Amino acid sequence: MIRNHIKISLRNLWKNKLLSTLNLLGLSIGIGSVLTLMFSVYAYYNADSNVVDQANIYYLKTTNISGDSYVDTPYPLLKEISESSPEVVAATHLQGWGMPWLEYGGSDFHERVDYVEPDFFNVFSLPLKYGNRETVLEKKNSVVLTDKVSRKIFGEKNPMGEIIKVDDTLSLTVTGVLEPISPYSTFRLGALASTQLLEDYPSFIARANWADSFTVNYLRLNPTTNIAQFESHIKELAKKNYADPNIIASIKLMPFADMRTDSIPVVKTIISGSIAAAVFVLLIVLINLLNLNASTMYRRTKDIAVRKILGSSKKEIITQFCIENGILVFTSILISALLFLGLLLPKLNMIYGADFGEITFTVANDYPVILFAMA
Amino acid sequence: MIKITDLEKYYATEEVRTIALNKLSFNVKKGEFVAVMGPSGCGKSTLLNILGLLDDPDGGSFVFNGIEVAGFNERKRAELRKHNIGFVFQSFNLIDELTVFENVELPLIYTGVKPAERKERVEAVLEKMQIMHRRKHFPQQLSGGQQQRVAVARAVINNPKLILADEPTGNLDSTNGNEVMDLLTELNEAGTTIIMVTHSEHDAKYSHRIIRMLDGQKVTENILMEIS
Ligand SMILES: Nc1ncnc2c1ncn2[C@@H]1O[C@H](COP(=O)(O)OP(=O)(O)OP(=O)(O)O)[C@@H](O)[C@H]1O
Ligand SMILES: [Mg+2]
Repeated sequence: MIRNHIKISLRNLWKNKLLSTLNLLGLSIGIGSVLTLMFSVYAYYNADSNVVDQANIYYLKTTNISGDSYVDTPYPLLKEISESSPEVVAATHLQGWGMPWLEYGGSDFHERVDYVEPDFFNVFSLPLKYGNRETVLEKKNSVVLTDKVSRKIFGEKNPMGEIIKVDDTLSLTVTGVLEPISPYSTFRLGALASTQLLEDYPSFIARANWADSFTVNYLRLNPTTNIAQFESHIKELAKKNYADPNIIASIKLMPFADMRTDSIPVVKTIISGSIAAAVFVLLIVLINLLNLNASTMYRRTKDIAVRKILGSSKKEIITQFCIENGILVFTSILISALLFLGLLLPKLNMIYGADFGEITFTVANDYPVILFAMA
Repeated sequence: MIKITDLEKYYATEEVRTIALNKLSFNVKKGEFVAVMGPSGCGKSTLLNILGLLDDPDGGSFVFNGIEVAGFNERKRAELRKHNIGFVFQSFNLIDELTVFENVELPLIYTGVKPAERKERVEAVLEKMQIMHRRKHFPQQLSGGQQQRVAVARAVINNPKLILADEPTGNLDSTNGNEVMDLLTELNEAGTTIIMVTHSEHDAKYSHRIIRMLDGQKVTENILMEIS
């Protein structure tokens, strides 16, 4: 019975080659687009699933009297806050300073290096593949690599204890390697080094004063902290220390989850745009599908009548339709999956990659998208 | 075998109500070959649809093989139909996407016959209809006469007790038409009851009895051959 249905469906589709091809193309492109859009939305909402206990992590957001907001403060502020506030469980800068050359075994690698406090791993519980999280950045000349950078420089080998030359001047010892970070993460890390190193750079010292706001601060606070009270305490510190405290309207503690949209405001627009576009395309795909159904139905009224006369049940007739359209839809899903993996995802990465980091697709991680698409 | 009494059927559209069958009564005995004649629109096809359990009458009684079937629901009618009744139409009504073999096989699939037995029975009937050499062709690749032979093969594949034919020669030239009439006669001689609607006096002469209709009613009956 089923074989008979499939046979007829295929012959039917073959007979109406042009229509079938058009339908197939339309559906494939439609589903492919929806898949891509939904995937970027999904990637966005799962951005920091690897950062545990996010509720107690905050960053500082400054608003000046002309209404401009930015996620930076003067460099020394964090130290003042930590030393004066028992609410702070751990605190760290996340400070880039140029993009140095890393040299190992005669090869040079241009990688991003961020300077952080040893406390970084107490703020962000990113798991380590190698190394001890308590001590990993204790020594000044330590460097922690992301899994990606470690693989790039050292291949599969365990790099613990190896020496990397930085800009031909510094020698850093690898003391830890991070487990792979979710590609959607707010962090775009390459290597982590100690801020103690940074504080040796004359060019940095020149700027690390109370006048320049350029550094990002993360704090893990005690869950019982009174945020309003804590904010006014920070304001006090600012008033006391800032070179020009009068231009500051407020310094707020923002939940970590807001960081991404705060640092790249256009993300939000892109995401709402993507959702709207996905819904719209999905609607078109649905209408197309209904249309497809109606037109097969129309072409097949005689067929249906004859089958009914010969003793076919309604169920079998409906099955026949479902199979014919099912073949189309299923093939489209296959094509759109290929389209998605082969063309749209790489393109998406080309567009988004620089800002958001590379998005990769692994069935194990991302099956919710697939399930959702199917529904 | 068939006993209809005061059979009524109406078609109601927005403005008009058509009486397609108006208190029609007659009997058909087992093994009989009956021709139904009458002007266009007098209700012949409507009658065949009801006799073929494709449609339900609006009034009256229809006893088929001793069972009152008027008022049967769609499912029960379909069940009875697929085991007892074969259809032949003026326009053949073969499924274009299926080959000759597959078209004839279809009723057997619906009655749940196993593949091996299906093949055997389809080949036997195609042999008998002398269309075996065309079994892999599609309907469009056949002449009208050949298509109607396939349709007859399909109608008889389940060994129905009753064959209903609605102008089976309407689309055929006289040679092919006569061939189909010979086929029907053969089937009738083998014991199948046949009710055939026709506009052709020539074809009607193959039957035992002609029922003439007008405006949904029976007007006369000519008995051409008495059967026991
Ligand atoms: N589905 C329908 N809806 C409305 N009216 C119908 C329908 N089917 C048939 N009729 C009407 O019922 C009457 C009988 O139709 P029927 O098809 O039985 O005629 P017929 O005797 O088979 O005609 P012909 O010789 O042209 O095939 C006609 O007046 C027709 O217009
Ligand atoms: Mg008719």
